[in-house]
Amino acid sequence: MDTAFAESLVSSHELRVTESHVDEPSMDSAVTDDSALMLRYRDGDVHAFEMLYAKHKGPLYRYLQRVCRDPEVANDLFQEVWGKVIASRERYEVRAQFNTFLFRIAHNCAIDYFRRSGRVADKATDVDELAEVLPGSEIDRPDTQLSATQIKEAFKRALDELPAEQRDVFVLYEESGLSLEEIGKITGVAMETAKSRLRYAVSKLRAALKPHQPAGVAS
Amino acid sequence: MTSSPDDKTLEEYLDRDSAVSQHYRKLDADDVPASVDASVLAQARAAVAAAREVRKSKPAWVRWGSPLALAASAVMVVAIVLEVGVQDEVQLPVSITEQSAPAAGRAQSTTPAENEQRDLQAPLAVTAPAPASPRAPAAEPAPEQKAAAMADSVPLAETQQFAVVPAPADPLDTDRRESTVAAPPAPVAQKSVAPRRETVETVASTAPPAAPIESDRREQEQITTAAARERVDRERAEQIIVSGNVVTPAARRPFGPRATGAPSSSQPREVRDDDRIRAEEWLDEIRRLRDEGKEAQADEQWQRFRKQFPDFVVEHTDTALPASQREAAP
Repeated sequence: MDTAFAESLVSSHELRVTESHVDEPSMDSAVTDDSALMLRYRDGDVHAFEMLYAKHKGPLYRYLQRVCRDPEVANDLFQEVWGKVIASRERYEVRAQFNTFLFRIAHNCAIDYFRRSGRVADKATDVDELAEVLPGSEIDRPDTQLSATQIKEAFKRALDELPAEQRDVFVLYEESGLSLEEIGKITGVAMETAKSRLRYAVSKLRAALKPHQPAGVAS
Repeated sequence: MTSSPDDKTLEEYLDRDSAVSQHYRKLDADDVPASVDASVLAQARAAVAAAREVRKSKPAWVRWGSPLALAASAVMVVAIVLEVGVQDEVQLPVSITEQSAPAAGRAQSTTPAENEQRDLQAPLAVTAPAPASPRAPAAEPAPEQKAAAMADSVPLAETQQFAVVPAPADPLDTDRRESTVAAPPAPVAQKSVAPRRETVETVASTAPPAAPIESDRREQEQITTAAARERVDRERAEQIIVSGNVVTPAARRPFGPRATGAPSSSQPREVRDDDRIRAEEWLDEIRRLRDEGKEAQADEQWQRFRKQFPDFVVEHTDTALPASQREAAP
């Protein structure tokens, strides 16, 4: 994670929670339930917030862990995100899924953290150039025999070595369950850009797993 | 750049059943620490409790306090603006009256001795035309201003008109008397303190010339006459200010003698009093001339007196009458 990544997402950082104008044409019952819980909490129902928190704390925490790669930072950001949710309850309106609302706050908090910490930039900023840089060169050696744990470690290493934008989109897709269009809105990019980033991330991760998969196994 | 195998891989991944997704879910992930859970939940409860506390501690009148204060302030500002606007409109005529009133007050409050002292300093101001007031507006004043100025200046102009009645002290000065009487009244806006001074000066100048030998009684009469004239002028000024009536020379001319008839309703009473006093003074002067043996001068004065006051009733035994018209006293 780096400042270049943070700067590339400035536009997304401008999209604050209360300025969300995301309109979802189809809200399923879960979304409605989440929004209803949030509205109940806005009216003073603490139990509704506890239910909401229990439902979303795991994905959110994992997202922050994967993006920040530092448990302490993830803990701080986790509390900061929920603190903002609590503080914004008076202004909360059902304009989008609660997931979108929650992960937008998380994304912005992560961007703020990267800006404050001034972390060293990754090498590549162009996703097309990054497509040529695939991690896991060591595990590509055909003579390497790895156990399941080693495969997990290799996958984790490949995930960590992904460019920040690609990792952000990939983790968001995995943890939030949102569509690419919503992810694009959260990250402040077009849906096609988010899709491109996700494509390169999946390709690199798949390449990292390829040496350990028997022939004929689907990706 | 983007190959179709990548697109195919992405489509398989988007089905959420790819090996990449499965490996991702197998990754170890730490659970949220209990302390963080407790902290977040405590923060949520504290926020709700604080909101409830604020609602409880804030009665309804406090919640409405700010809007009410804002509305009250707006009403007060509007009222002040309207009040200031009305005062500005009213203040101009009032200020004109206040500026003129002290002048009249000063003239009225001056004693005869002060008037005499001022007359000595400017004796030639008697026949001088009324100077234009420096405050006289060039344009036609507003109706309110005009009325206020008229109420203040008209009595003084009236005093001037009465003051130029032929003086018995100089009965030969016919040209001066006629020209002064025939002079048109000064414009209202030009009448200020100057006419008042003229009046006082005229009073002093119209006094009979000092005789070589004057009795104390005659001096006393002159002082009394001057004081009475001042009083009459003051009363007339006050009455005209109150009633707004302006007495013209034409209206002043027909007067009734003291001993005859009731006053006409269209004729102010003070006008007759003033002329009566003046006629009596003139008669006194004629009597004095006869006492001194100056019958010729007395007859001439009598003729002028009768010409000036044809309706003034004189007793047949009055010594002011010529000997041919006078009856012997019983």
